[in-house]
Amino acid sequence: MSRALLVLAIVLAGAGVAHAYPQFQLSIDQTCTGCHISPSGGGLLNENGLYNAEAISTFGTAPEFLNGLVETPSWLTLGGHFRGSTGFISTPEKVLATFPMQGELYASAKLGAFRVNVTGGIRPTQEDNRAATTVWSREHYVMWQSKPDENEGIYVRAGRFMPVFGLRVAEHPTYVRRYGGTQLFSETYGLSAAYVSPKWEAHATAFIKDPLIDPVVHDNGGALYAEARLGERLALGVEGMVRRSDSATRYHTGVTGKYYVPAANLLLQAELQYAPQTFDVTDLNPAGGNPRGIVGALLASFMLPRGLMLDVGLGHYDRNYKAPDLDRDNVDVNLHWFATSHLELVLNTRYETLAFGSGGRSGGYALFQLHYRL
Amino acid sequence: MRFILLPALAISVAACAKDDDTPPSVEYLTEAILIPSCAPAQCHSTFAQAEDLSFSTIEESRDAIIDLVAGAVDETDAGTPENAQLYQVLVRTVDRMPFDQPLPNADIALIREFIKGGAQHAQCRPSDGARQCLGDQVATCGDDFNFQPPFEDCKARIASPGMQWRCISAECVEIEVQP
Repeated sequence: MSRALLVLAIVLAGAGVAHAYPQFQLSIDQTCTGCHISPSGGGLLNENGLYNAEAISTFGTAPEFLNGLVETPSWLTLGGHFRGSTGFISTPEKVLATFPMQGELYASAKLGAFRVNVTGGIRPTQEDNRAATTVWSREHYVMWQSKPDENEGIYVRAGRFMPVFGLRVAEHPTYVRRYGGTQLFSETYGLSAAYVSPKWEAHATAFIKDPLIDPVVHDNGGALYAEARLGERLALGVEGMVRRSDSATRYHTGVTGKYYVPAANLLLQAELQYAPQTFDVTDLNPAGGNPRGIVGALLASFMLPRGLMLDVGLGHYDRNYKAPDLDRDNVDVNLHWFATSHLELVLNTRYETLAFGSGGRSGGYALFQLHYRL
Repeated sequence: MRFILLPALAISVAACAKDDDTPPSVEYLTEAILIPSCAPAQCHSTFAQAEDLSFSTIEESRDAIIDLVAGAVDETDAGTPENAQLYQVLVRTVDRMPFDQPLPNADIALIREFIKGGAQHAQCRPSDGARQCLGDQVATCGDDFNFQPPFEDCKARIASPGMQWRCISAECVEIEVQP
């Protein structure tokens, strides 16, 4: 059992590295940059983001860094995220587990039209190299913004960051992240150009395999994401990514959609990707191979009173829909309580099935997560 | 309209490719199954290398598979999956892998087929032992053997009449050709 717990802690550690809550797009603001400094969302909040962090929470409290106890100069923004989780997991082996997920600090220095953003913190260590792999900088990049005092315009970034792609939900076990090209810690070095406005936005990223550390993903490639907002309630997006490894090329092409229903305070989100792979025909792999993957998500987010938000999501992943019984489906139910401007409690639950029971054993989990934003 | 045409074009191009025949090669198993299922950041990725294993690249995966099928592949290039750790960890009930979500039975069957077929191209390392490894390639007497990746560094000339070289469980073995 102890080994199982250790393995589980390894598996789930870092399970919530702060991406944005896309549930708040359309329901609170039109764009990610409405609340975040980064054009992709996630990470540090801007002034409007701090205001909204306070407004949606049950007890409010000063939303600034360290509750405003430490004042930073206007050119410097600081922050951080800490998460831990505990609960029951049955995949289908049953274990109780408690584990850290995230401990990261953020800094952003603004110098005219330029910004330098750095994210640093603890990371899962590398076996037999623990001393040198305890801390790292997950993101670090220089950004130029055409309108540095506004939340729109042209953004150019160079450095280490996650390619902008898809819905960008925070929960990395979501299939559209894990299998959809933006898995946990797949940040790498790249160059990105983006245009963001209330009506539409577009992001283009070219990326390479990280040449400096042993990375998670070893691919070179590029990603495109564009989203048009048709009125204040509807957003439609298209996406494409090509990733090249040593022996195969992966494609991710898809669409996203968001629709906000004000009467029910409900945001519906969906993403569907066609994700085929093409294998090189070589002497060692003479048959090549061309599995045709499908990955999708449907998420309904109910903005409830008193700082509560309920997410009900469906996920589907089939690594090759031409072959039988390879598909997996899940139901996620997540209840968020934004207690204060800084403190969030989350109940994450999942039930997962393989080919609706005929492809393997089903599983699930129920985890309580504590999240504190500095 | 351009937003719609872009993914539609990419989908139509990919759809023209040939049907998947799920070949049980190291390359296919690694890219299609092991990387998505076994090599997330915290597990058997280059990043974390849990249990000193990584499946993040073909070479790392080959290296891991060599250890995980050792003793389960015999000199006839036939394997016994039940003896291979690579298969055992997928089907056992305690400490099963992947720990966070099981593999589909169809993928487990493909890995089983791969081991049963002798784990071709994942039987030994070129650097193992003084004698060079030929993978599953067979050479006969008098051949100047041109080694294919990942054994391209190996050079050999088969000198013994009536003998072939086969790579068996982490070492190269010279075997007699049956008449």
